[in-house]
Amino acid sequence: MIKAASIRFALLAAILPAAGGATFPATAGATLPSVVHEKAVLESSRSSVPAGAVLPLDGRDFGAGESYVLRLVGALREYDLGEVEADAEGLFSIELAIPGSVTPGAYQVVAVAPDGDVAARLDLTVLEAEAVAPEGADERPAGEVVHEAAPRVARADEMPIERSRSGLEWGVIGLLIGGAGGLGLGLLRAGR
Amino acid sequence: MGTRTDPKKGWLEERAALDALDYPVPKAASRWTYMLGGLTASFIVMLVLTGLYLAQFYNPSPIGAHDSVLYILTRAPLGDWVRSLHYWSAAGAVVMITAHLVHVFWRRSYKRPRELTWWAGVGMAGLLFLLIVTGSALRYDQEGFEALAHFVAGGELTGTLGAFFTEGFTRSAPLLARIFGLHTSLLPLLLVGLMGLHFWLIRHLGIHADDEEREVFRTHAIRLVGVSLLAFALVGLLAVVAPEDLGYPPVAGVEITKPFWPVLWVYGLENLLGAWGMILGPVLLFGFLVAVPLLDRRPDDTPGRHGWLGWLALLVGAAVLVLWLYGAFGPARQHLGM
Repeated sequence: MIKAASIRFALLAAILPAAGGATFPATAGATLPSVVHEKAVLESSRSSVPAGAVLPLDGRDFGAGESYVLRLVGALREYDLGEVEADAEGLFSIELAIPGSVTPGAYQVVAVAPDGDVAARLDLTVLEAEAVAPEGADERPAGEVVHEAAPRVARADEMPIERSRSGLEWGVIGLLIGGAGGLGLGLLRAGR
Repeated sequence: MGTRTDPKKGWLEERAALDALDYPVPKAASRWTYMLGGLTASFIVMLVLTGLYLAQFYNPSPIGAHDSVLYILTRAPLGDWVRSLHYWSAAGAVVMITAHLVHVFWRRSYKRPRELTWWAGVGMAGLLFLLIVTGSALRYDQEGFEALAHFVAGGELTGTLGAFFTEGFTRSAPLLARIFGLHTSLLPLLLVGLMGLHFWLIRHLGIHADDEEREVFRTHAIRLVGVSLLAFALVGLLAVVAPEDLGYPPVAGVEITKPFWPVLWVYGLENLLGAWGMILGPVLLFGFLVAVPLLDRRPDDTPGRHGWLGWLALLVGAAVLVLWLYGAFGPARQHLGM
């Protein structure tokens, strides 16, 4: 079953655009849910934090004495959050600083083991700093500079989007269009 | 007693009982004008298939929706193309169902005994309209957010009837997630159900054609599949050369975009009547379409002989066209008290 999943991940990795910008350091499979390896647990009292604030984060069932890289992983962006070391019982408890530069959105805090496997994940919503400043202000360490995002201006135009396709994707598109066109003409002739 | 087999039949033909498709239909069924309904169904199939794919990557939460659409556009395998296919298939379905409605109206095919067939078709057109406006909201860019704000405003205007579309309906799920649920489950289910009823009625009541010549349905079906595949190739090409874009993340409190083109006539009406336009326009248009079989009291079913109803339909059509032009080329206005 694991072998089948690996093959599937490898196939997906092959057709993912090369310029997709995926900077996740682990294997291609690690960017996808890999429940087989996720025995550890990340927990927090908060499901959302403003950018620039601090997230109380607890971990359990991690490898005793092992270090884990913490990353904030969203659909489009990833951020390094530093390293954490589990104690002899596989526990840790930290105050995790969410960088003020994080774009608001839906993320996961991901703990990556030394071998590159994802050990645990936690869903987290990062909010705009200024939108929740009064609440978040209590939780920021003294002296920390608050990230104040510039107010967004509504725009009616379209975003510039860098569209890129791999050779395999172009091949699939060409095959589908050409195949449908050819078969369609053939059927029309056959139906005469 | 063993099953009787026919050695002349092919493997699939025998097992799938394909000879059940060999019932006679008028040869006119394979004319272009009579294929418009079948082509609409083909576009709906494309919408379902591409929609299923897109749903694997879409995040229907307000905080993650825009990023997930950007993800589809830039990282999901074939995501950009499939999303554009979805867009162009929707455009194709709107064009085909409109042309089909006009053709059926012209031929007065809604006359007895085909009233139910007509109403099922009008119901499908209404559902397609709702699918388009709910789908627009899922973009969750400025245009999508304004579409969502229209749902809220429409819900508030219509009181209890529209309570589902208000933010206060429930605190457990955001409106975007509920609109996503409507767009991907309830509306498609209703559409497929009505399509089934429509086809069943056509199978048993036949099409309204003067043609005495007959051919087997299988021949017609082969032609329809052929035309549908060509239509797929066409929208596939359009998806490559004219891909659908995405706007910037939304900002609340303003109304600066115009909707997807099939909805522009409603936008034009909103320019004249304010937010009530989005309720009155569709209610009047679809109300008229529903009433058509009841209004046409002439005993014969000769195509084009509608009497005063024809003039009324022309007036309705002209009004929609003028409103559409006004919506498309008129000023962008704020309709909601956002």
